[in-house]
Amino acid sequence: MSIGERISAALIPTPAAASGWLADGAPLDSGSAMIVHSNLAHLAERNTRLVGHALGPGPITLATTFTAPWLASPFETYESDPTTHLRTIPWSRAESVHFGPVALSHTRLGTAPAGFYPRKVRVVIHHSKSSEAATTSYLIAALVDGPDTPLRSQVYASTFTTAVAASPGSYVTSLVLNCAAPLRPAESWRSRASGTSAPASTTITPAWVWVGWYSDTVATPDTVDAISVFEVYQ
Amino acid sequence: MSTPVPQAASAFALATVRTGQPVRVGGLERMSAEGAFVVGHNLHKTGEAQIPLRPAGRTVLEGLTHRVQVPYVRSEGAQVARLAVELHPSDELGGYQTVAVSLPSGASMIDDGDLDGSTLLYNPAGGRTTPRELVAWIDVSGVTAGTLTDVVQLTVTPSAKGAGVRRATVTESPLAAFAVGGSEPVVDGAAVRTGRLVAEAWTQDVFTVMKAGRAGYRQHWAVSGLESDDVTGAGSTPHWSREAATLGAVDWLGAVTPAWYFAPRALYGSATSGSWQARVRYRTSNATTCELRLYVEAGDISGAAWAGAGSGVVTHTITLPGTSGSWAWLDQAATIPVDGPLVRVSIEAKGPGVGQLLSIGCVALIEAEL
Repeated sequence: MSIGERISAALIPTPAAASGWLADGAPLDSGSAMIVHSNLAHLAERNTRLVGHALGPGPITLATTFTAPWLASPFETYESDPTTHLRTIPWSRAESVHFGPVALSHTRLGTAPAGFYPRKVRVVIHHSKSSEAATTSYLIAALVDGPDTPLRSQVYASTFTTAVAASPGSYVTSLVLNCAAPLRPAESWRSRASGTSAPASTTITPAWVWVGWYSDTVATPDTVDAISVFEVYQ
Repeated sequence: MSTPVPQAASAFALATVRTGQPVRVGGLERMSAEGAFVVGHNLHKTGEAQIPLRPAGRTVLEGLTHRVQVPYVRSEGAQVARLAVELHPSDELGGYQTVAVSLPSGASMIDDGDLDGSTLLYNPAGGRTTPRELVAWIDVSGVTAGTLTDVVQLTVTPSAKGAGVRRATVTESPLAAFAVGGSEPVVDGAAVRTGRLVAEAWTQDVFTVMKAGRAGYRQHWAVSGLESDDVTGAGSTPHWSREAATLGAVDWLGAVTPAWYFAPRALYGSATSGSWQARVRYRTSNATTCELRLYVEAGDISGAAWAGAGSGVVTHTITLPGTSGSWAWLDQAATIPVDGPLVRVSIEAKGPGVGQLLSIGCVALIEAEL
């Protein structure tokens, strides 16, 4: 749903600006003004960014997603806290991938608390669950404020899902990262080089997306085949 | 006088614009703000290159000179792009690499972030204990907006123990304000004042900005890996590849049946397919013509399964002429059905045959709205 009101949920074609129909001295009529308002609101909603698309590692087991990574990641701090899914894995490169940054665009209105909310980010994971008895796979996604892992960044939003051996097969799992509050600008980025104009910086809210996986299979691996991350307007 | 660029969309109501009534200043200011947000803040995030370590049995990344391609089409408002590069961890002494960046025509480095082709780069860097991104800032104001064939290329030269680039991404930097009279599309918000006539040039600017937000903004879909001069065969190549001269699965070095998803803009409703351009970076080991097929289907995810929409699977067959060992780009128009909130993309290929190899470095879809 766009913030600005639209005539309809479609872009209304208009003649090119320089084609002579906007004549000198002619007032901007209300119909044209409405069309411009509607189209700009539509574009503000629909111009979503595709954040990243990547291949998964393929087969994942306990050995590839837990045992080896913990030993191989001396910079991570393990905290055995069962209340948060973010601490299921150490977020080393063997069991995670991350995308970004994307400069968040605030195109949603929220009321609790009131303010502009950034677009939701959707993570779609193409994966499979094996039938190895009593095993579970975890798929975890987090939207964070820096390139560092979710364990060491401010987490804007996170979610997870599981697949169990009782329901083996291929899955297309969708995880939605939905910020539950307005976000403050967090970084200053260069936005104009020195030249004919003065150099400038912009204070924005960048975000990185982490996607992690965990499997406790041993003999018959689960798989993570592909990961897609993109903004959505719905 | 510059025009501020808001970081949020504008909340105007159509009821404030009435037939026979003058358009009010407040309405025009909101129009300016919304235009500035569309073409000044909500800029591109391009597809990323992701290069995990190669699985056992394949040519390893350590010591392998390679190149990374990130397709990038400038949007009309963009002035600066941020290039972020993450290296593989330097697990051993001497695990370093150099990274050189080739930019699209018209672009220049503001700050190369040591991605200069000569600085020895480690991850973590000297004096640090945690991995980090290397960041370069690029002046893209001179790049022709909308050129579908632009690309940011990284040439990575690792030491014998360095594994090179793990991830590369390009993000356009939102503007703080428009420089009125500059090269970017702009609506001068300060020109709208109570009691002052709205000049026809201002009105035309509004329509120009609207066009820039429609056709100057292009979604980037890309699955990008690496390319190198390694010429080993199907069993040990570090590249995504296909050997058999029949249509079938690409050897993705791990993933078996990948499919990717994204939400297209669907600007004109669900009945009008989107115009896109497919880009493939590839190499064939001999002169045999190969093929890549893109299967695109609109639909949605329901119950952890894909449900296609009525338009069905659209197949794009891309003929890849033999390159006899050279890497090349091939571009071809593609249509994307949008009668579902999501689109699914999958890929198959036909190789040159036994003992030869089709190698793939990047497959991209760039929106080509005219």
